Formats: sequence, structure tokens, C-alpha cells
Amino acid sequence: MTIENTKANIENTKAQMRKGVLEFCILSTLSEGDAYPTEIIERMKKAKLVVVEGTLYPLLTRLKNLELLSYRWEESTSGPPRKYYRLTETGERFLRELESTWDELVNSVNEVTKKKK
Amino acid sequence: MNKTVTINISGIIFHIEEDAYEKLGNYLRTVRNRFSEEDGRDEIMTDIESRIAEILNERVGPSKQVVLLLDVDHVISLMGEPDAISDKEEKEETKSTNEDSHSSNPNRRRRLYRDTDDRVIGGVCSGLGYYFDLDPIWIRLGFVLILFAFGTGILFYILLMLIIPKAETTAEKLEMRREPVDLNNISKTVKEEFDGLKKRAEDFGQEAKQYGKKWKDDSRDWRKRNSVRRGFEDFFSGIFHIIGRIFAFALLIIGILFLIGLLTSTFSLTNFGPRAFGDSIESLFPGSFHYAIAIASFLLVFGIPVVMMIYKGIRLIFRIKRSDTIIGISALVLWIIGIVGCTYSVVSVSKGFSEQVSIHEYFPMKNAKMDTLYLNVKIDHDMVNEDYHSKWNHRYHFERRWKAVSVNGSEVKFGYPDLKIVPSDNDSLQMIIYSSSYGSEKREALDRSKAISYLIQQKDSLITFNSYFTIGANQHWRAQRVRIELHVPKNKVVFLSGTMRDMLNEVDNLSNALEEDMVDRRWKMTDKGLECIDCAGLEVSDNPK
Repeated sequence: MTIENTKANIENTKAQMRKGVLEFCILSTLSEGDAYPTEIIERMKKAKLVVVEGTLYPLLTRLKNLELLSYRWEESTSGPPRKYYRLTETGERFLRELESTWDELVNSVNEVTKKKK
Repeated sequence: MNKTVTINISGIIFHIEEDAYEKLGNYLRTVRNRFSEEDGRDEIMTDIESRIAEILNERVGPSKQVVLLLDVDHVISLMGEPDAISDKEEKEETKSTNEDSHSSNPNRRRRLYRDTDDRVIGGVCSGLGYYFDLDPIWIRLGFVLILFAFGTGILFYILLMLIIPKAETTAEKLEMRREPVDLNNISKTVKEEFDGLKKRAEDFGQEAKQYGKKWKDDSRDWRKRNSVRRGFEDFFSGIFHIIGRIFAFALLIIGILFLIGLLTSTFSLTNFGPRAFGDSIESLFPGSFHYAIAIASFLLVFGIPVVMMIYKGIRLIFRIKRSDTIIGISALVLWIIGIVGCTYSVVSVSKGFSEQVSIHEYFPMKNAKMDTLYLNVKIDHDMVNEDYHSKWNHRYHFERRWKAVSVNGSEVKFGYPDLKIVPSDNDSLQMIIYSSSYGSEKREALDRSKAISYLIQQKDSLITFNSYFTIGANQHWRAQRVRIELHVPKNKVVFLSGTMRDMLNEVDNLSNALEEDMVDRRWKMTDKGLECIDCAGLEVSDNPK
């Protein structure tokens, strides 16, 4: 395998990881209440999860298409109407599953990485 | 002072500076391309655009009405670079990281523009130089060389100048200078197109299989049905893209071949071609001005479609997207002018043939009471021998009996005169020469008939015909003809020598013999008509006319 390919694979793994985590974060952010993309970003930034806004839109569309999210339009004073997203019932179930998976994952990862050190 | 553009994002109007507009446009296009195979691309783009509108709206106000490059940079920093936004599936992710910097993204490919900063005439050559990564001097040399190919070079240059847009904005100038389009890139692009097509076909097949079952279970699943339909669309748009490319090349090559053919044939027909042919074509027209109009109209009627073929071919190949309504309309107008000119030419030529006048004169026959008359044709090498002198003389004939031969380009000999042999009312031999011509009016036709000169000589009982007549200096060809009527009294004999064959025109005889069978024989005028008197071996028809 060439160096370039290795690099590409690392990049790919990172991207996959980031994407999975981001989806999880979006869902849990929305469990605190309905929000539109900019608000979601704000909440994530507060939690020091640095992302650019653009990343959000494809993810939101994807989650919406999977029927984990639904949205409604709301008028805005400073521009075009905004899409407010909310969790659907499936979304909430999915989120709970993800949370437990995440906990398990973090535990296992900690176990494995501690032993190494 | 800066130029601004008015744009509409998500229903909100912005005034934006040109460079900022270019950047924003490029950004949106790039982002959009990242999602080309994604489900819900349009929705994502709508969301992104409406967010951009919101951000920009916050940054303009009564004191600052125009969106600047700075604002666009701010938007991009908030939304993220296309790389950060893109959310592709695993294999696409690898694919795009590997091939990102190459031509997989059509917007990153070099485009053809005219470089007016470094120009001699219109910047075509230096633009082409950038496109093909060549020093423009070579392209200029090439153009100068094909200039000598019947002026094809000039035409081609003008065409390119009209088709290729000028690199006006900075963005366009950058596009012009981008990564070279070399053979590797081209083959790569083609390969990618095919791969894309293959992938789409596979995806489509899988989707169809997958959702085929589901359709039965859930016929209301519109979204998934949609995705199968989109697979269809992608697949066929891929096929059409490749066919379109091939079509564009074919269009260009056929167009260029046609153009060269058209120019050379017109050129050679009017200048280097068979003299008699050229002469007779030009002499069909009332004057050289009409002739010029006819040539120009002919070139327009056949040339415009050919030029438009080349034009469309180049546009398709270099994917030039600028509006071409003006060129289309001017081409149509020129073509219609050509049609009008052709109609006018046809009318003016046919008008020259509207009246026919025939004049006649009696040949002063010496010793008209003789018993046997010998008919002979004076051999003229120009008329008879096809190979002899053929380097200098040009011939033109529809059939054996119709010939026009020019001798060294000066005099045109027309052949052959017609000879008819008919019974006479009295007891002396008589020969009448009819000269006829067409003209636009009777007067003109009469003048042309009079200008015809034709020579017959008599020596005792031997009559020698010239095999050709001339229509007079500076006369136009208006289907001039010479017909000769030989009136033969009863019991007189006419001998037709072998050379007479081409002059005889359906001479009635009792044997119903054809012209080639009538020569070298004696014919006697009887009550019923011409009778052969030395026709041993010639089949005599049972049913004489």
C-alpha cells in the first residue's frame, strides 16, 4: 500500500468517526428542544465541538430522510424562513440506543487504551 | 468604483461586487458538485443558500448596501470549505481524496477563452495556446499556413473568434490558465465518464432489485420509487453525455471537411475548372454581376449550415456556455439572404430563356439539278478527337451529339448542327439553314440568332459541312442551335459519308434505319420517302414509317 493510500485511509476513518459522532451530537442536542441549524451549531460550539455550519446540512437532510428528524418552517426577522428540526419518536428511540452504545464504546475504548499505557 | 451584480438568494435581493459574486458562485457550484450523487442534493443546497442569505442579510444595512469579497469570505469561513462540508459514502470519500485535485471536478478544468491581453487580432491563438499548453506563436504560424488553403484559415479564425468567449473577469482568466488539458487528462476524463456510467448502471440495477420487492409491499413509497427513477435519469444522462461528445467531434470534423470541399469546388469551378464548363456557367447569367451574386448566394446557402456545424461542434467540445442567440439569428438571416439570392439568380437565368427566335437563309446551291449529292463533314480535331489536344482544350458534352469545346479558352465551338432530309416540292435541290436562339426578349434573341456563324462549302456535287458553329464573340449562351433542312426532289440520290453520323437527327427513311446505319450508303428519294439503294445486309423493316 502506498503512503498516499494509507493517508487516504486515515483521513477516511477520521471522517467516518467525525460523521458518526456528529450525528449522535445533533440528535442529543435536539433532545433538549427544537432548534434550527445555527442554534445547533451554537450549542455544539459551547460544548467545544468545533464544526463548520456547512457540515450540518447534509447530515440533517440525511437524518430527516431516515425519518429520525422532522422539521417545520418558522418565519424569521432577519432573513428567509428557518427550518426548525425536532426529534421524531423513532429518532428518540434511536438516540437512546446510540447513548447506550456510546457508553459501552467509551468504556471499552478506555479499557483498551489504559492497558496499553 | 466597482461594478456590482444583483442576485437573488432564497428570495432576498443582494447587490454584490463582481469578484465577490464570482467567488460565491464558484463556492456554491463546488459544494453542489460534492453532492452530485447524493440523495437530496437540491434540499441541501436550498438549506445552505437560505443560511447564506441570512448571514449576508445581517452584514448589509443602510450604511453598507453592497456585499463585498470580505463578506463572502466570512460566509465561507462560517459554512466551511467544500471539503469540510462534503459528506460522502466510504468509497466515494476515498475516491474523491485520491482524485480530487484532478479533473473529476469539471469546474476545476481549464476552459477555452480568448486572451485579449496578449493578442494580435482577437486573442484566439493565445487563448488556444493556454488551452493546449503551447506557445501561441506555433498556433499563429499554423493559422498563417492554412490561410493559403483557399482562405480556410481566415474563415476558421473568424469562426473561432465568434465562438470563443473573451476572458473578461479575473475568474475567467484564471479558468483559462488552469491545469493543462493534455492527452492524459482527456483520456482520464473519458475513462471517468465511462466509470461513472458503469457505476450508475450497477447502482441502478441494485436499487431496482432492492426496491422491486418493496414496491409490492408498499406502493406508496414515493421517495424510493423516485430514487429508482433518478437512477434511470443519471444512467441515461451519462449515455447522452458520451454520445454528445462523440456527436460534437463528428459535427466538427464533418463540418470542416464540408467547408474545405465547398470552398475548393467553388474555387475550382470558377477559376481552374474546365474552361468550357466555367464559360457556359458564367454565360448563363445576364452579366458578371449576376454571376457574382449567384456564386455568393450559393456559398451562403450551403456554407452557412456547414459553418454552423463547425460552430456547434466547437461549442460542444469546449463546453462554451455563453448565449449564442445573436450568432444564430445572424446565421439565419444570412442563410435567408442566400436563399433569396439563389431564387433571384434562377429567375434571372430563366428569364434569359423566355423568348425564342429562329431565322433562316437559303444555301446558294450550285448546279441544283445534279442527280447525286455527296454529303460530308469536315473533320475538326477539337470536336472529334477526345484525347488529342486534351491538355489545352476542355470539353463538355451531355451526349454524343451535343458538344461545347473551347480552344485555348478563346473561342467556343458548339456542335453538332442538325441535318434533316425531307422531300422537295419542286425538282431542284434546296438547303435551308435555320439559326435559333433564346433571349429575354425577341430583339435580343434575334440578335443572338444573327450572331451565329456557320460554314458550308460546296465543290461540284460534294457538300462539306462544318461540324460546329460559333455563337459570336461576347455572346452569352442561350441554347443557340443550327438546323439544316435538305430538300431532295424525287429520284435524286444522296450519299451520306461516315462522318455525317453525328449531324443526322432522326432522318425518316423507309428502312427505319438508325443514324449510325444510314451513313456510308446511298439514299434515293421516292414517293414514300428515302429508300436505301445499296443496303444489302441491312435489315429492312416490314413496317415502314
